[in-house]
Amino acid sequence: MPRLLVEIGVEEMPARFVLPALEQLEAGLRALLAEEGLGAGEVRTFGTPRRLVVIAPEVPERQEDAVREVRGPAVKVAYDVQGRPTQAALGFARSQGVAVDSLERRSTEAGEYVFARVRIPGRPTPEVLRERLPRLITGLSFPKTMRWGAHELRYGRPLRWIVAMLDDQVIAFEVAGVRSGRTTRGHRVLNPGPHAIPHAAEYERVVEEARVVVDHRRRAAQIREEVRRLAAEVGGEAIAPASLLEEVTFLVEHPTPFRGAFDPDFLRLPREILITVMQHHQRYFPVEREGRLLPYFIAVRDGDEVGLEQVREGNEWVLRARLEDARFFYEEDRKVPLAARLEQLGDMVFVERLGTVREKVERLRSLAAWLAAQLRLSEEERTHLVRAAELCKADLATHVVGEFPELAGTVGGLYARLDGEPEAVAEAIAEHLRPRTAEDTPPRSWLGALLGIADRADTLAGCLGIGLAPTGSADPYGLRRAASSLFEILCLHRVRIPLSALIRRALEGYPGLGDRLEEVWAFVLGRLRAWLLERGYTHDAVEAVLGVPWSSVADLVDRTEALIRFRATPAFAALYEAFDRAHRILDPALLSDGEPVAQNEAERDLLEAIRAVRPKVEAYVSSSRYEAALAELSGLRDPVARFFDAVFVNDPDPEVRRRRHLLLGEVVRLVRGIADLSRLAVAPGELGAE
Amino acid sequence: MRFQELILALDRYWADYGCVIAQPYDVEVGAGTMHPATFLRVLGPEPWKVAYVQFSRRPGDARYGENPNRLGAYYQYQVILKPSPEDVQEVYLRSLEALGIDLRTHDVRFVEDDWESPTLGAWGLGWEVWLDGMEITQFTYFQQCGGMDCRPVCAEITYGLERLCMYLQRKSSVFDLEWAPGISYGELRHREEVEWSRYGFERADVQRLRTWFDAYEQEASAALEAGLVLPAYDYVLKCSHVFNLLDARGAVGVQERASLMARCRRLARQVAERYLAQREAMGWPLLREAAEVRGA
Repeated sequence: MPRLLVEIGVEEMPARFVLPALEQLEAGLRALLAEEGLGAGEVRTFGTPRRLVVIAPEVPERQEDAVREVRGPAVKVAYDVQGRPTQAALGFARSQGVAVDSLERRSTEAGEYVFARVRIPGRPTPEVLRERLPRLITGLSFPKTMRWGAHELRYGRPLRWIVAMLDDQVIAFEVAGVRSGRTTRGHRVLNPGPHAIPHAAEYERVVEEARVVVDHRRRAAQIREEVRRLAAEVGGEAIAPASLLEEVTFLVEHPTPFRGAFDPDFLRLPREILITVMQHHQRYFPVEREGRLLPYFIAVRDGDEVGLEQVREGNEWVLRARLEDARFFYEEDRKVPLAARLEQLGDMVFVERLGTVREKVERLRSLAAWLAAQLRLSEEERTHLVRAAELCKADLATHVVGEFPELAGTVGGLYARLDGEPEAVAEAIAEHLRPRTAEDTPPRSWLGALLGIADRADTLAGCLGIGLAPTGSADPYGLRRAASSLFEILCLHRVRIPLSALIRRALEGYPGLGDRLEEVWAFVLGRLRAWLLERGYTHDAVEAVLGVPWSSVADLVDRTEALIRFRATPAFAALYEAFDRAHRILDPALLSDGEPVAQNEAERDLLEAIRAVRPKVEAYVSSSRYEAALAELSGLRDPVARFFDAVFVNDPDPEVRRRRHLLLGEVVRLVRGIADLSRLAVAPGELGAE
Repeated sequence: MRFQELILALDRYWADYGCVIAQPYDVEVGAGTMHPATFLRVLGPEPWKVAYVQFSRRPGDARYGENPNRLGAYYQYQVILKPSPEDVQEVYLRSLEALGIDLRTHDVRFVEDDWESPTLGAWGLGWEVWLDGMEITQFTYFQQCGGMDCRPVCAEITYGLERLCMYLQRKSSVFDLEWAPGISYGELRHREEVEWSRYGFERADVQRLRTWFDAYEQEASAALEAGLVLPAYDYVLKCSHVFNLLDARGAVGVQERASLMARCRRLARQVAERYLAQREAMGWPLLREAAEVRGA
């Protein structure tokens, strides 16, 4: 079967655009082939900054034929009294291209009609692709789009050439003034071309000769291995986070990693600043040994070995200028203590309509004091937390953060330490913005965690309070990220503060937003649900736990995990049966406060069973041992079963009926102290053979 | 390559390509984009190719001439190609070769970088161009200018002349660049950096600057009312420059900053609208000319 090749040639696509575009291209081509009856064979993609490639190695030559039934005239019109076809039948058969004696009679709701079975021949694949490929190409979506020249198409970057071939045939079409063909381009410098592709099967050979390593997996592997080797040569290890590797992979078409060096004197600058300059600004991999940076970096050239010495020397020169700049800013910053910069925060907007950073700092101090009181921190911890809150944004006014915004927090921590602030204060400042990315971890220190909580709660309350909740994929204020970071920290540090109280208190920091609690809470709860699901908990378990009163995020996580673990044990069937029987029959209108009473044997039996487990369950719950509590409650299965066997719950006597509901209500209440099992989607198989 | 030779080589290259070599504008601007040869000419359907040097003032970036990499004013080499040609990247890369940069022995990258000017209501998408890890050029496809869609879209190529020259001459201080034989960049510009830093950070009279901002704004509006688009634009530029001075002086508060920028943007938008109307009334002269060239 023929091979399909599509190469979309573009001006340098931003590195972060390429992988998502390749995913869309693969899914899009699969869907297209399936819809058009062109099979569901393999589809693979390659990408570089200048090309998005999709290949289907085996595509049928044409669509399969289809059969369509077409209704013709009514039978009484189509045949005369002798049963011979009339002009109407002959005309219909002719128009459908079938023999008149192949017409079939069918009765329909409207009477008896003749039908023709018309064979629709499948179209040749090139014809179908000519129609469909332009939409596949223009239908890709990118995080940001642009126009160019006089074209109206919006795309990630300008489209410059298209290769579309089925074996050795070009599939001809045009997109934004670009005609598809068999001509590709090579590496911009090493072998620009143009290069003709004789046959789709020769694509990889042609681009290889054009000095392009088109398979991004291969480029990534080459870079990873070379970077490791170059670092090992100087006895070190490269700091190579996955995100940087991916970015560099999509910045080059022909990677040649090389090692450069810098003046060891720069190692006196804080490590974080050095790493930021190298990684974020130059896309270099720093080199370290046993946690200490070495005066080397590894960069990746887009090209081969020719002139590599000059490229190395140039990059070293550039890095030196960058580091000198950083040193200048650092030394300037150190001329005054961090605390002296607080005043400047009054000139910085936190978020439009939410005042200045100075005002945010005031709110954070007050929120920190509240947290300290709620959590009964020691006097020393309280002082440290409030001081950290006061200083945590001061670094926004430093030169270094002005130059390297991603170092906010980190620089504050460094400077606080150098100013002689207590270590706990410096650490809390340094950590409070973590986790910064999906790869990062939450603060490790207790005070850093609390400050991080205060910061996120304040941002969420303010932004959501003035209606800045994200819509669609756009989240300009990073509120989704703020919410999940908040939950992560609350959970990791097991902070026993009711989430609703935290949000309410944060909202109180903003005069005039007090009445927006409902909007704010709706978003927070929605994100909490999403966050729990992202942690891999099943949907129904999450709903079961959210369906009963809960307080802190850590508590919620404990219950969900206990429920999921317990559900996998044999005792779950017993618990569920006891709960389910009681819950099904229960009439909430008959319930009231107060201890249930028993009047006969069966009632006494159940009441005693309840009284036997209740103190244990309550003790387990209060010490967060939810699984043990559930196990204890599963022991109620037999008493509940005996109860149902012995008595008629809905007794005609209202007093008796109320008494029995009260007993079953107590069973349900105890279970619901942990989770509402009625929200679980329990399959019959889950409950065993009984 | 000496600083002046760099300029001469770029002029030669872009003139040969077919650009008008314009001259620097004589009103204070923060970037080459604000020169009317860019801000106004990128609007509307008329084709336009231009290249020029623009002295660009950024009072807030000044460092008393003490930082080897930072300047309160510097030279941009600006090129506008409208509509953006299909081979615009290759054309740009050849300009580097014209500067004696052998691409085979260097590493050139196009790294994502988008650009926005809130005071001009302008934005675009593109790259910063890296030469061996050094950012030497800003490359932008203008999407909007003066709040209006650019149709067609132009390519803006802005070379940072000092950066590029420091790299070529391997000088670690901008002031050590050789401008002409025996004359350094510092000789021409160092004193200026020192004095303008002192003025901008310490001496500029805030009260007077505020008065000027208001006066320039009124003058711009009055000129617009009289149908005088180009004089109006000069006063918009002056407003923008006064705003930059106030900002460097630390005299602009949070609320005020947004409002001053919005006032500049509003004027810039009006100028852009009037300019388009004016060109249309003139029958888009450059479109006519382009048609004649094709006809001949």
